[in-house]
Amino acid sequence: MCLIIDANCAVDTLSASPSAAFEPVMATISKKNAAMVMGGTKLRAEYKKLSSVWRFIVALDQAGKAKTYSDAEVDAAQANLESAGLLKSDDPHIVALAQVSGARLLCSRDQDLHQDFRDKSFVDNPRGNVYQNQSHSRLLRKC
Amino acid sequence: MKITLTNVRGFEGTHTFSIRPITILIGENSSGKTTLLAAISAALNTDFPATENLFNRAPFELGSFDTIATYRGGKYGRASSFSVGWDDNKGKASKSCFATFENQGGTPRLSLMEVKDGPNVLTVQVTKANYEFVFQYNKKVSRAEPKIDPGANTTIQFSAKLEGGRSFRLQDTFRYYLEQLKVNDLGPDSGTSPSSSEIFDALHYMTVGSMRSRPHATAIAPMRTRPRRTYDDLNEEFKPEGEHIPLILARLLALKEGQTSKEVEALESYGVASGLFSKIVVKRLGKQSSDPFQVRIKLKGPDANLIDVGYGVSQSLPIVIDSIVAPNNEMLLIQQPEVHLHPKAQAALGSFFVGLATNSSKQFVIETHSDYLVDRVRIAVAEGKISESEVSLLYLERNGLDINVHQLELDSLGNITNAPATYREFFLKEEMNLMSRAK
Repeated sequence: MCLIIDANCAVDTLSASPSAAFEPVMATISKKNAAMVMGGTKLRAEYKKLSSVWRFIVALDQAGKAKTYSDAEVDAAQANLESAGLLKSDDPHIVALAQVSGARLLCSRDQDLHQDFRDKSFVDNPRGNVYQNQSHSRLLRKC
Repeated sequence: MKITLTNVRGFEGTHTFSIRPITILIGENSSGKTTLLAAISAALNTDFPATENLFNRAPFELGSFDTIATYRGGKYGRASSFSVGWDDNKGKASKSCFATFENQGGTPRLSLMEVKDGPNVLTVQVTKANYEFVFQYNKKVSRAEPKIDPGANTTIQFSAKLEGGRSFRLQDTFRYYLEQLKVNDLGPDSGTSPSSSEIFDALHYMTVGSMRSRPHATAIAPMRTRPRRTYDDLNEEFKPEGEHIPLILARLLALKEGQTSKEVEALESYGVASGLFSKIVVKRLGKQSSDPFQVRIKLKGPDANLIDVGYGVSQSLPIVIDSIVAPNNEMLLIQQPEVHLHPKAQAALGSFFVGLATNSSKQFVIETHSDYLVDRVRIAVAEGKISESEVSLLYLERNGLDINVHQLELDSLGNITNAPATYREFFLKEEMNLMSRAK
């Protein structure tokens, strides 16, 4: 199973000492056959600004636990979402990555993005779920 | 092409490996990488199968039967036999060759071999006194080669006495036995189809002609020979440690002013990409082509003798040059090509192997601990320089006395799609420890 980690919680998740809320996500990626997905110019740039996170993502990529999708495809999906102008959030790149990759689990602290990600007109078959803290650990069981 | 091992060292039971134009063996020390290379080297040796112990051909030395056959421990003890072989479905007819070895006074003794070419199967069982041959055929061996009546569906059996002291090799000694058989066992042509001479020709084709098209393996040693200030007593005969390389280099570089060759271009291209050299010059210490010479390396400023530049140059030259001059259809078995190389040069090696694998029919089986080399191959896949189906990542993992083998697949963006949870577990933990060291 694949999941998307928003840059706003990347430091709390992709870290040697993840925050209590996101520790189950890190444990799932490390110990199970789960992988985070990555793709699109914007998300990649956001990760690169977080140097320790970027370094860890490279390690996950080498271990087959981070899956890269084509920036061009994600950027094109993002452009479509932007031109439609229907999203509540300002994160069309995250919704676009879900559309391109098929990842249906999001780790994020952005409430507007939560609504967009759960909106089946944007993310469907299956619908998207959002992980925010340990109480959502059941969502990781599919991983 | 696939290589199959049964009960060889830690490879308990039967393990089949997919060998592709680029095959990379990954795993901790003592996880079976070198054993696998040695087995490939033996199986793709022109003499295979042979009564001689091909598992000890340089640069490999797997030792005696007791150090090759799987040890299972406890009441299971050591396997009573082990097998090695290959099969290849490339081309019109699938071909394969397998051999089983038993213990004879501590050395592996060939006990059974099977050669297949399409529907035709030759089995040779080696008993204490005889070779027992069984040849099944049911249609012509090939369009171009000796024919047997397509309607025939026949099994012939015959035996030949073992001759004391005569070793058995598929491609030369076997011909000797076949010639004996032609006279002694098959009898004169009686006008029936197939005739004895047709059977002889078909057998000969299966054991010699057909086998010519299989890849031949060349193994390069993990530590290459030390450079010398002057070279004078050399020959071009291949040596795994690369003693032959200076003379090959001298021949490649014996070009007139302004001339170049594909080989030299490939060499210099690697030199520039790796940061090791921009040009290599051979300087003769006399006017004759047989006079001693020096190998001089140009990077920046005046050129320098090979012995006076970084060790990485002399360690990587045998790999690069043997790879360039290897004939098509050659399979190069390379151990630790990254030794003494800076990460930039390790990565450049990845691109170099991809370039040769895609522009020729050479194949590379590379045992490595270099992330840079592996990453560069994955990048080449993502860039479309090589198809993901042409790359095989074999992750070997020791599990007690056994070895688990994971064939890691790449997708078109170079993502590893089926890594087990244990893959690179150490590296992830190390990253975490590094990041939390200030706590």
